[in-house]
Amino acid sequence: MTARFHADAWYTTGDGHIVGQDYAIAHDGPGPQAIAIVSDGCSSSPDTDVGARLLARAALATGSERHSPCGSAAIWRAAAASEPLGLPAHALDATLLVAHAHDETIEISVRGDGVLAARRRDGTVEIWVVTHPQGAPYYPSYTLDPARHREYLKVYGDCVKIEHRARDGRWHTESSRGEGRRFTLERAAYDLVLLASDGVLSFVGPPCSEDTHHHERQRDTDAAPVAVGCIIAGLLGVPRLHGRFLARRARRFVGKTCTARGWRPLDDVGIAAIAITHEGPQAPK
Amino acid sequence: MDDTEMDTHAIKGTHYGFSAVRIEDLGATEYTLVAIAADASASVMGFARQIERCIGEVVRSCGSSPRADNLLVRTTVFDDTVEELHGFCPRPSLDPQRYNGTVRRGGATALFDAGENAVASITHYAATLTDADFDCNGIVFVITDGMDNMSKGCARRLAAALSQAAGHDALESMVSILVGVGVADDAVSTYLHAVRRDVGFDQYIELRKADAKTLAKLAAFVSKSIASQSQALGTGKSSRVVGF
Repeated sequence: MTARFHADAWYTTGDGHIVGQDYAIAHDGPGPQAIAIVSDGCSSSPDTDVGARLLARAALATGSERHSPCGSAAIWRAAAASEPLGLPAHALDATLLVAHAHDETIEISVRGDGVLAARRRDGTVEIWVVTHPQGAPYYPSYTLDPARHREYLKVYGDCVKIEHRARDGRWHTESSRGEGRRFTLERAAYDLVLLASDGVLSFVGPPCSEDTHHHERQRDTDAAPVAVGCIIAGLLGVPRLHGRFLARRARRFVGKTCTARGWRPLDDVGIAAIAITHEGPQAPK
Repeated sequence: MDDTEMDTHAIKGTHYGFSAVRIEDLGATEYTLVAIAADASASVMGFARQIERCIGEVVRSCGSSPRADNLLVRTTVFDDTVEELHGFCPRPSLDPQRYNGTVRRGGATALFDAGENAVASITHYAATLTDADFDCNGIVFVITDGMDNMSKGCARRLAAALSQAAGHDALESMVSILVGVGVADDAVSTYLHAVRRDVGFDQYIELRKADAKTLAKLAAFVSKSIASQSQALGTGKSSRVVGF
């Protein structure tokens, strides 16, 4: 069996930001592969709106060449591009989430924090929420400056928390060490894979009663966080996997459904997705 | 676009359907659906060429709009029956020259059937698009020089179609404009004013003449109205009424 992939991306500025620092991009070529990328610029570093874009574009160029997520190569490429522009070194302080779809697998790399969600062919949805326990995500840009890298590890360590909502809806938490986290999904099991910045965790508003995990627990106030499961369910509710499928869904969901429910994102939101749109008999060799 | 790139749609309870570009081929996230129904009955023969040029000019003007990629245009002509010149197509795929020689049929005037089909095609296609997460609004122009004398339907059915479009969840807003061309006869003028009132068109534009200068002005008005309605998409409201 061969797979066909279709990718799309969308991003918006959150209520608390004047300039959006999230960026998302997706590419599907004529061949059996696709790339989806999300980058979330650090709000306390300068010019990260530009830096996040450079990093994402560098990751796209690198990933297209090497057919793998390649986060570390992308940051050097982005740094080379930023230098003649006179951007401050810290402008590249941004997370980098990359999904690369192949014939058999979808390889995902998460550097920093963010959310991965995947819809199985039976309609069930799995979610992985990657956070750093002390709230300071690891940025690939730290590798550009060894002293800064050492300082980060000294202060914050290299521990990553991964909360996984399994097919049965139950949440499990695990910790892992390292500066990035990789996931490998079996392509045949899924029809839609979504990457998201932590902006999907920033929605507030009246409660939705879908989930019970601590991430999802609701306070009975209008300003309570909205369960990430509710946001992901809305974003993955794509009726047709073609054209700007994710942009249409996100505009409809964030612009209309969320507004009607009184939900709003405080942070920027960047999302990118790969849809497995068609399978057929393998072409003869 | 050729027929293989179009889907055909039936409209339940009516005599005519419509065609439209396949949803899979649409690249934008929101569209203004434009339907133009032009009278091609015998009485129009004297200025058919000007109407053809007018439609061509509308299509050409829409092409230079910043919203050109967000327009899906459908054009029909009518006499005894309604003929679709082309279904809902992205503006960039339309050649303004294609209308030459199309407004020459020569029968009677099925004004209400043509209007109903134009409005219903917008409502039905908008529902299909909305089901796929597209945002839509619509604008319809019915261009005629005289009184209905051949419709299987009636003014009430056209009014119902407009009312349904105006209240339909799939359409953020809907603008309807009746254009009387070459209306030199007071009886026809009175009739078309009554049609506007009874059917509920948002606007009625009456042109006493049908010369090239007047129809060029009409083309500018139609183009401006389309652009205005397209720019209103996302606001939840109809465009402001454009003066002729």
